[in-house]
Amino acid sequence: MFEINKSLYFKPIKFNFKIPPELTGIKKKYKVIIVGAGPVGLTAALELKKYKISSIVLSKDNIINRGSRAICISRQSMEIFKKIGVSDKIEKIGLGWTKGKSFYRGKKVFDLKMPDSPDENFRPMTNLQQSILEKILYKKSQKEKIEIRWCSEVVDVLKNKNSVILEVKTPKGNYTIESDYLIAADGAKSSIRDALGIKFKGESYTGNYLISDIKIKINKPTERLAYFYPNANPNGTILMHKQPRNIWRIDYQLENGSDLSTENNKKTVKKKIQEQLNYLKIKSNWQLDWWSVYQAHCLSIEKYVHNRIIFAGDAAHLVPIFGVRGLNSGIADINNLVWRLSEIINFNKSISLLKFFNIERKQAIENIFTLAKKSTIFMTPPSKGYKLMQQAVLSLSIRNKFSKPLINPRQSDADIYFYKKLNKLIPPQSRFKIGESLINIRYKKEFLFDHLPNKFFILSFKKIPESFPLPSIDINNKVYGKYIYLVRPDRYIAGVWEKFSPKTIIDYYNYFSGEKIGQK
Amino acid sequence: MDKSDFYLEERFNLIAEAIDKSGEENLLFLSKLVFSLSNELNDNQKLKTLINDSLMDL
Repeated sequence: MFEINKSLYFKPIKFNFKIPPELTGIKKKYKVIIVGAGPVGLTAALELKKYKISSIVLSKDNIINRGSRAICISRQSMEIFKKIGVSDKIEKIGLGWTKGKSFYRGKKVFDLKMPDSPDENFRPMTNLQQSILEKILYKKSQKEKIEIRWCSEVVDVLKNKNSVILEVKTPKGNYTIESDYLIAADGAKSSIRDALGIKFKGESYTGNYLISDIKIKINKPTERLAYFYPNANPNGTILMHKQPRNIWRIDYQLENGSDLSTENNKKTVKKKIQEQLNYLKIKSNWQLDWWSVYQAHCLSIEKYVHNRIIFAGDAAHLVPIFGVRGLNSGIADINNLVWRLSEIINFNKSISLLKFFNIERKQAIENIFTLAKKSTIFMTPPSKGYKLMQQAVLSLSIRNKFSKPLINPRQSDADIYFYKKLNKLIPPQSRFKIGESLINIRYKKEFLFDHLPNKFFILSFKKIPESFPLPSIDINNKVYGKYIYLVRPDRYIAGVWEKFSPKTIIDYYNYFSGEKIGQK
Repeated sequence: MDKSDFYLEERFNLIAEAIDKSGEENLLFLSKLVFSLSNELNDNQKLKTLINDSLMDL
């Protein structure tokens, strides 16, 4: 059980332990158990509900958000939140943004402009504190009657063969619980990972950042602000992000080899923040809400699927904060996973469908690591050589264009899954390839994504015969051109053709969904 | 990412790692590298412009 964190902007909710049926001797087998009531776990429960699959959520905590403090929600995550009915609330409180600025010793060196247009439903990024996001997800889960068991810590995995059996520790004693599938979304310190003896592999970086949230009124737009070697931190970088409710995230890079116990001290933190505010000539009063020391990691477990246990979010992979991919990659995991579980549970498809989850998400995380590593090396140069080159790039970028792309923070974007062989067979002029996500556009006075079914479908520039066994959406639009697309329930493309060829489309459908269907 | 950005990143990494490799003699290494590159460039006017550019904002 944990103490409630005091917050200047968020009223925490405390949950009491309720005695579950298993502690009164009632045994029941559940379809899906989700371990972890963070954003990834709750999104999984709500997404499962969309597919009419009931689940229960186990959390060792008794409060919302004891740990992580993600603040940037990507457009792709917002589209997933829209599917589960929480995007309106997020937008109402959150701050959408599209731009950023980077400065070197007070001079502007880079303008970040993320792709955006009125045809998009959401801005590329929306800033919202994780605790507020979790409260929104929690409230929605209660509306959807999703059972969350607080103060329920998984202490062992007793079986993982044709079902999963867990041992759960509670204030009123331990019990065992059984399910067909388990989603481990229990964060960086996953108890499921520990119970299976699975270890993270990868790299941890030497540089540290002090991350803080302060309450202050600053009249600046919402954008990413990066200050390289400002007077307030002459040997490092300071990052600033505006959040709702007059909260600002201020991250400053600590010098390599600095004494973390001194740096982590409230007095030191306040002094450094005040120096940055002085540097920016901001005179408003402010209060320190929270702070923590951060180290960048690119860590992942080898396999995300272990028989009937599927790892998602920080339980599966830890990515650096630069590029805002932590929370967003966890939400992408769920988008890739839940439709597969629906195919398996609701339509008796083979469990081997989960292998594709593992393959695709591993590809995505490897790609994220490549990008995040580049950002991390630039943001926290690991050696003298890299630091000199970083400074050379920053200095040259004051007056030269050629070096500016190296300052780009490579913000989170939709993951791409690689289907090299299949993509050799698609029309070469097609803008979209197999393994790429659809993009949202205006459609029938709304948005295309508002009209998509939770199943495989055809997106086509011309009408598909009604006898064809998959639903279809007609679209005559420049973005999608004169092509016929087979689209998965997670809105990823599974086939592109110029001509309607029912047999080929069904072959592709069989491959991606594991089902054998014929024409009606 | 387009190809030119990829090459830019590759150059960035190659030089950074070479500076680390040169250790305490990094200034000598960088001088040698710049002199060799100026020879490849074979354009003293352009070299003067690049020198002036690089002298700014130190």
